Amino acid sequence: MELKKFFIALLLLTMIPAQAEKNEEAIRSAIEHQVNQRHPSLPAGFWESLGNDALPVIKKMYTESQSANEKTFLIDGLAHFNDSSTGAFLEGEVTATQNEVLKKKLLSAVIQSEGERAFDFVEPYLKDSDGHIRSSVARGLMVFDQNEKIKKRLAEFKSKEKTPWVLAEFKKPVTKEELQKTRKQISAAAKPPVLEVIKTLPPLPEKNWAGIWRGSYVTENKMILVEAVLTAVDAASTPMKWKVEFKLPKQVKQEWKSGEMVLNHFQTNRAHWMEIRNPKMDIVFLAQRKVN
Amino acid sequence: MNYVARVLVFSLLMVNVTACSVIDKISEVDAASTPVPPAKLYSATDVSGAWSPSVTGAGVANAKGTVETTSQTFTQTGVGMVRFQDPWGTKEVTVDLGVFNAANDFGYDGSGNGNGSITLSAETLNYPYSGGAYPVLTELLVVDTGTSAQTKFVNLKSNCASNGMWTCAGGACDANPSCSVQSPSSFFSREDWDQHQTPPYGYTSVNSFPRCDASVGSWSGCPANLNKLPSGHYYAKYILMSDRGVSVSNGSADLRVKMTIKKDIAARDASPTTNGIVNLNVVLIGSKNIDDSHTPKGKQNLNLLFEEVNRILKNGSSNVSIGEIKAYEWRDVDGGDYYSQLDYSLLGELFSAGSQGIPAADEGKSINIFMLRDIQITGVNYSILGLAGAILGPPVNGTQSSGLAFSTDISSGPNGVLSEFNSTCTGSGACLRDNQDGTFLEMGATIAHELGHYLGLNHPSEKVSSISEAQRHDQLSDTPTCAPRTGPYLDQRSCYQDTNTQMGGATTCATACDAAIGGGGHYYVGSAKSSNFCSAIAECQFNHVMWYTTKLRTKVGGVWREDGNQVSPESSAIIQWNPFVR
Repeated sequence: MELKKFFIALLLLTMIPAQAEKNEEAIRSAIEHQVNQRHPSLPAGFWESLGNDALPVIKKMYTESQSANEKTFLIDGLAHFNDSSTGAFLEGEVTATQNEVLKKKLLSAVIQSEGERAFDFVEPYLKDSDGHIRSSVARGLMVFDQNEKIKKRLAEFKSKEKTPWVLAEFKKPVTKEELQKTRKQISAAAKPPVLEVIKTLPPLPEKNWAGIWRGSYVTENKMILVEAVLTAVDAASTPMKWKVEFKLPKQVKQEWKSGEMVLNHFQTNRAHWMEIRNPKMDIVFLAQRKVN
Repeated sequence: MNYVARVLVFSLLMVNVTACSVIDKISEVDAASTPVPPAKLYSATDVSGAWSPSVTGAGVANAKGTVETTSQTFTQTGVGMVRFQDPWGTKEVTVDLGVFNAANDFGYDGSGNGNGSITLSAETLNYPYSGGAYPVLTELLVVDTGTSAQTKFVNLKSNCASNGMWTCAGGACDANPSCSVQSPSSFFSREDWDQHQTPPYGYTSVNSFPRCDASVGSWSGCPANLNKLPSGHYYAKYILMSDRGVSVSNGSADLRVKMTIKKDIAARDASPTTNGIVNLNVVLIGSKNIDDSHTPKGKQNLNLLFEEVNRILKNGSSNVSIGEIKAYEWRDVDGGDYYSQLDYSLLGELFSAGSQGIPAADEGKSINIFMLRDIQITGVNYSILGLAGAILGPPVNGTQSSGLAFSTDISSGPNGVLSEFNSTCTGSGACLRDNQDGTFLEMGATIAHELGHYLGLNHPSEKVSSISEAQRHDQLSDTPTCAPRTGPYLDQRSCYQDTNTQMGGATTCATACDAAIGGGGHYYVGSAKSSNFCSAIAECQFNHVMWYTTKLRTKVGGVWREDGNQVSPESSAIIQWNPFVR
């Protein structure tokens, strides 16, 4: 039995990479859906709902993306993380990008992510030739004007800025949106909830258990990855009567029926699971529902 | 102290819903509103090296040759006002629009064929407080000069006048459920009516009639007697609905109504040679876009961009072409720098200032398209690809709805600007569509989509924020519905998986789509994306030009495969009534 426990632990460990992949796909899908909107308005708490797993996915998507529109979304997402690696990533992209609109948004995100710590990096951009970049940085820093160093530099900016509309923008009071923007929402150390789409995985009533289940067939001394087909034999009885067919290696087929086995269905936030025990043979089959 | 109540811009335009149901206060200021001065624009024809539009497939030769438009302005001074929640009492005013003959003025023949229309663009002038007042069209009445029989195109329940349009509490207002439209009416619902009275930007209401035609397809809910404009004496009734929080019973303002009459003697044709043209004013804002438009590559890209818009507008039942494009430059020194990257909440200001810079002779004859670098959204880092000033934009310049805006830099590739799109093309010679960037083609699709809004079209289905949220669809019986699904709710996949048969037929989107592509599922259905698209299948909402998200596309063997841009016959009828289409 100890060996079986080992196999089950091993089984669960082997499932972690597959789960991570699935999460990445779900995160990508959730972001892509938002990006595809011509008039986007992210639901409140959207980035928070993706959780910490989203950070590497967002960075990867940003690096791969060939669309400025998609990049603006990803910049918005990155700005919600305040760990040093995200700050460094954003700073690197500020330096690398040739697109001034993206640069403006990246600078805003650096301030949002790093807070006052961003000052040394963004300060030179208060002299940028692009008025929108100057304006964006100045307004981003205004939130931290209780910091003497920043306050002094902004006063200098105000006295030297020559473009009337940039100056007019600077003189407007800080808005609640700007204050909100600099409020830290996701710490890289924290583990916020996983995706909403995962949390809302619907229940799978017994009548819908039929189908293919993919998992591990664990005996006293071996564990094999197999698929099993679950078929209802008597849907009218309570509980229903089932048969399960395994296709084992070397074309060996095995069939269990109700009475020979115990079915336990459970679900996590991420998947439907079936534990099928055959006490007589001392075998456990632990499987996830195959997603068609 | 007063407060300004405004229609939630996001709920009406950013998401382009059919109407909004909540009005929310956004400020408590009492400063006088300052009119926006006109922009100083330079016509590209006067600027050496500027973009001179040359768009393949476009041109005035595609005009119908059957359309005449005339306009007349009516002003009433000292009109009393009401607030959102106030009963109207005696505050409703009547504008005598005059006597019209269906044949001579609208172009209908003896059988009622023709596409004539009447469009009323109403503004409030000399508003005495901050904020503004919406001129709300409460009735359009036609009295037969012979029989005195009355036809009402706007038919509200009397409760609206006695109980007010809205119920307000705590500075936010909801639609008063007892105030709704009643049959027969050109408006299908209270929401449908609201949409044209309280626009997202500014305070210009725009109403156009007819609004439906039961002889097109099977336009359900369309009253047969409101298909066409009859001969008779036309009267429009308005109230001025102030967004002020405290009483306005002692205040008054002026009402200005600009009436645009479209006469079109062409009968609607199932396969016309042309359904007319739409002229455009394209305003390039800021030095970056202007400088790019002076390069060979920038010129080529601008021509290709509007070639793509033209291709979509000509699709299927629409068959409308771009006519003449006039290019303008709004330079940095004249405010172009400021407006080139703008928060969406200030677009009304841009539309007002920019459209005032267009020559008066082109007012109502050309739609204004403003090319910004970035349309920002308050408080976030992402942006908007494009946006129409209103769903049914006014054929009037100088209002906060008078145009459309697009983000050039956000629509591009990572480093792209107008001069850098389509890197495989050289700036001279041909640049085949399959060699153009996907983001670039999408920009064309976005412009066509927003033009659809400006010409009066809604999304067939509106975005939902939860799977249980009530579905809202346009009022057209020949556009498909699309049910949401768990997760992203409404997307290409949810349309494909919608098990409803569509448009009164016996076919679902999936059935029709699978038959077209020979099985294998639409592009986005499996976890591994396929290369299967069914762009000609009207049962799938994502194949319609007014589908609410961007289109999916992928390149296979160097050829673009993508979702379609269909225009349904009923959508086309709406476009045909629009005075910009000629």
